[in-house]
Amino acid sequence: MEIFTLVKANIKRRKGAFIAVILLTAIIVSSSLSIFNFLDSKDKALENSFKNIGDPTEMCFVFNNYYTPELEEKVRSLDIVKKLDVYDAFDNWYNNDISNRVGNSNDGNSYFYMKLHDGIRLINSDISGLEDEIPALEKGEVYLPLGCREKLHCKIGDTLETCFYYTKYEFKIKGFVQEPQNGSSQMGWKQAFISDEDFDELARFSAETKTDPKYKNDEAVHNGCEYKIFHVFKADSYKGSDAQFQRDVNLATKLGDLSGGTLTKAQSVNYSALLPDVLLKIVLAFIVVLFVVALVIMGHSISSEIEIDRKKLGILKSQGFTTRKIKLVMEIQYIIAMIIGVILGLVGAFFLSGVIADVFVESVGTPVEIKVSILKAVLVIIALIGVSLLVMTVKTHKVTKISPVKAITGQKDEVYFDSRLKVGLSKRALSLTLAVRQFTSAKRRYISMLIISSLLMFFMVSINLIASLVTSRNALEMMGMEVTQLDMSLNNAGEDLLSLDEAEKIAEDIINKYTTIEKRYAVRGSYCSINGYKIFCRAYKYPEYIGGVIKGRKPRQKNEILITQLVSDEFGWKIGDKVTVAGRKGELECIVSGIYQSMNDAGMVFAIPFDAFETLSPDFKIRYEGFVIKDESKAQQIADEIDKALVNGKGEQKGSCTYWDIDSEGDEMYESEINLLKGIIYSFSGVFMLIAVVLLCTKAFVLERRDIGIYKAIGFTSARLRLSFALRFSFVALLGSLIGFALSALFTQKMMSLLLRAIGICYLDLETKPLDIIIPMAVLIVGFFVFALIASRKIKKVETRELVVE
Amino acid sequence: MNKAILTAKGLCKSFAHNGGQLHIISNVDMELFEGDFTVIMGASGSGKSTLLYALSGMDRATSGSVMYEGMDIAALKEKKLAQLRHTDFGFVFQQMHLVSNLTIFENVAVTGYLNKSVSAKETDKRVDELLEKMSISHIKTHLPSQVSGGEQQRCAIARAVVNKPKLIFADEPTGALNRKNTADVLDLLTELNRDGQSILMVTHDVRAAARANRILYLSDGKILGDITLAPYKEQDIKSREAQINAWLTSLEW
Repeated sequence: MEIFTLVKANIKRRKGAFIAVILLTAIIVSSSLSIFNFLDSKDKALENSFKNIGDPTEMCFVFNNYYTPELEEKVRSLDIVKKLDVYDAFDNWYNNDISNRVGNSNDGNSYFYMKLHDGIRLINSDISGLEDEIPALEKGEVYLPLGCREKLHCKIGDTLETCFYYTKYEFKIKGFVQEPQNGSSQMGWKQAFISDEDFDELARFSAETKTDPKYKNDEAVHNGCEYKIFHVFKADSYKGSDAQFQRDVNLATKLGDLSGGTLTKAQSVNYSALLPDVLLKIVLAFIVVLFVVALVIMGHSISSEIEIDRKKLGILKSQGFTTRKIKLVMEIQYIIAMIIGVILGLVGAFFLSGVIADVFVESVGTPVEIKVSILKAVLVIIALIGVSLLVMTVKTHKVTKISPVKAITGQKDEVYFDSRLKVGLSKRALSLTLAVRQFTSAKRRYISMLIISSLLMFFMVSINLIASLVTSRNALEMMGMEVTQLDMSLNNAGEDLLSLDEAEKIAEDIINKYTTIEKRYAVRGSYCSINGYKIFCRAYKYPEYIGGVIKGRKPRQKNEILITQLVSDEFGWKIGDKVTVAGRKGELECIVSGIYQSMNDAGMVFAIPFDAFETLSPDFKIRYEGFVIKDESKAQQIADEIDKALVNGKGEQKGSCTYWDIDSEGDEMYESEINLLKGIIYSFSGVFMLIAVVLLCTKAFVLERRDIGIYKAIGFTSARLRLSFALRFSFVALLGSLIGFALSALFTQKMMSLLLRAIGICYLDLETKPLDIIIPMAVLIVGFFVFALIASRKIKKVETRELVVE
Repeated sequence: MNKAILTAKGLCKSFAHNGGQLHIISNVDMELFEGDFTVIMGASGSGKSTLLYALSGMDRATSGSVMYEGMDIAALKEKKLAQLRHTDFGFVFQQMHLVSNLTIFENVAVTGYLNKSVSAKETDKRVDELLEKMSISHIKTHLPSQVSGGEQQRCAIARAVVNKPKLIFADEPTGALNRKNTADVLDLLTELNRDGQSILMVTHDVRAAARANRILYLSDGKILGDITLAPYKEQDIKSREAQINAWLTSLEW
């Protein structure tokens, strides 16, 4: 009973610390559990969405020119294939202005327009779940996968414009559907669903166009835009992985080699989960750091409580309270705070999970119904309370050292100690030098603050470096991206097209008038297979400019290829290995000449010289080239001039050229998610800074109350003392941020490489800009200063008469 | 008679107590004169320290005025009061109250640095001179915890006079010292007074009071006696103590 009386009194008296522990626990519990809830629920949602369409193992899209009924039959008859569904589809016509456009948002990726088939579920209008029924489509209506909502910035009722041959088509968006194979906003291809009437009309239109004498010399028209979409279901008896299944089907039927692309269920799930997995795991790492920060704060709070209540604890001891009982009182009050925090955290997690689900809904491609991960929740709570108890036990050990007599008579061990770091006082910067002296005199008191500020700095710098990746030319090149300034695209369809050689001559002549070409990327992307495994292939006309090579060398011979670390790890190929690369029309024995980095297809990609690729798939031509020029200041002018000059002999425009200014535009793809991440980390840092500063200020204030009185007695004003008090915390923040910066220089690269491995980046060369350091440093220093200034308002209340001994 | 530097009129200080008011100082009228070494005596709880702090502006009086150079100290804002404390007034406390993480030199210098009219170099020179005068220059780099109580109090006196204040307020400056250190501190104050320094000191020690040329006797928050003595001479100490004791006895001390 006496224990609870004391606990109650302690809580009443130290409301600040009590609330701080509640708040910290609630933040940690709510954020970690909401992430676990979301990640688990998302996996379940993706699994269910596949079940809705019958759980196909592989999806392939085969250009009609390569499709034969025999191919279909061959696949269907395989023992390892349980079922095969084949759907007709029309791929939108590539057009520079309109590929798939809503308003100003144009998506140049392939959208396969097809009839609505079984299993496709309609997502409700507030994107929170699935409708039981999916209404039939009327003429002129389209159902789009959810990912399009983000890619095209569209909503129900908007008009989608697309192009088939040379004709613009318009569809009204009737709704968004759950399409698990390509539905994620992180994936390029999309399956869009139109009415049977529209589909049949398209088929008629396609047939008419092909026979139209107007297009008799138009190769692109004759190739058409019809596809067969294969959904291949593996037999129940098949025990291999999805990738192995795709390979086995390909080796037996050439389905993969003939198709324009394949996608296994495992790949779909991986791509759909990629963004939340990577970003939320970064947040989880941050939460672990915050937990360490919370433990530091709690430990500090306990030791300051012991110091402040020294006399009271001495009295309790003299009254017969054992050390164990006193420790128990302290532990119980923190456990009560933690339990309240856990309860609030659980409630918070419920809401926060929903917010996370909303943020990532387009990325996942389906609404995620949040289910509480009870096991993980229990484990998190046990770990949280268990580790905290350990810290409490260690920190409350000080109670054993309190001598009742010494405590009651007010004797204390000397608080200050001599320091080698002593800095002399300066009349000119008296407040500042006094602040530094306060720190150097009692360094141990600020260790926790140093740890907190350095950890916060570490994370803030890390997130800035990640954010700067999307605007850093060097970083993007290191990640295998072709960061060009001039992007030249040539028309695919029509008569009298410009060849790449002709366009290159035009571009070179113009560029050479102003500056010189430093790098050039004439690339064609397509799916090929290596040893039967369908892998995205990037064919380079100028392989000497391939970036991101981390081991070995770029291809020098026609039969040399680069693979990514992910491909190497997944399939076991190493530098020097011989592999068979196959396309639609042939195959070639190649040697792996090096390992490089690329984010294409989340790292499942290889690079090959175009002259080798041409022998595998001769029908694929390069219709794009990007240039990096020496003098970027002329880029816009050059781009405009090339754009005007890309005309054929008849003066018809047959291509376009644009200038991409990465410094001002960056890569929009991940910007919103990274900004969200930045927001989370900066705001959590702010809350933790506030709590840490308030608790530490309270302790410093109690310990220095007499000194504050003395300073006032000799003529210091409250304002000056508060300034000095706040400057001290800024000084600690400065030191902490320097330590954090050093930690970041040592570990950020390794940590990020580990986390970004999931998107194909195994090695990062982070480019640190001064602002990436200055901004978090300023946030910490100013934040600590402002919070300390606010917390030090009690200085005003210190009266010099407190020095009087009556 | 020298001119008055501090004048209190109708000074009262009371605290809320058990639903009523506890009057510590009641309607005190008094004047302090330039160059005087004035002592306030009284029994424990008579309100002498409270009076000292009300006069010096360290504490706010409940009512009444304390006029210093045309200003009512009781009505001054914090900033002006702070300025008075580092330019015109000096304080010496019973418990020394040195800043524990500053060295002896710095404890004195920090007050000097607040004085904008003197350069840092001049302040440092003056601090060195004062420490020399107080015989504590050998411990100037020590922390307060590393020196004796007497040395701490001499440091506190040096701090009080570093800005050449017009008036020093000393609250039982020898209360926490042994006999030897008490004599040393009193000698220092006497010497300062001889150099023209005005001092107002609170004490209940007759030997300390004997250094003053004026003694006020306080009882229950009221000034009941006011005696002026001849300037202090060391050889007269016994007779002065006897004179003071007799006076106090007459006041029923």
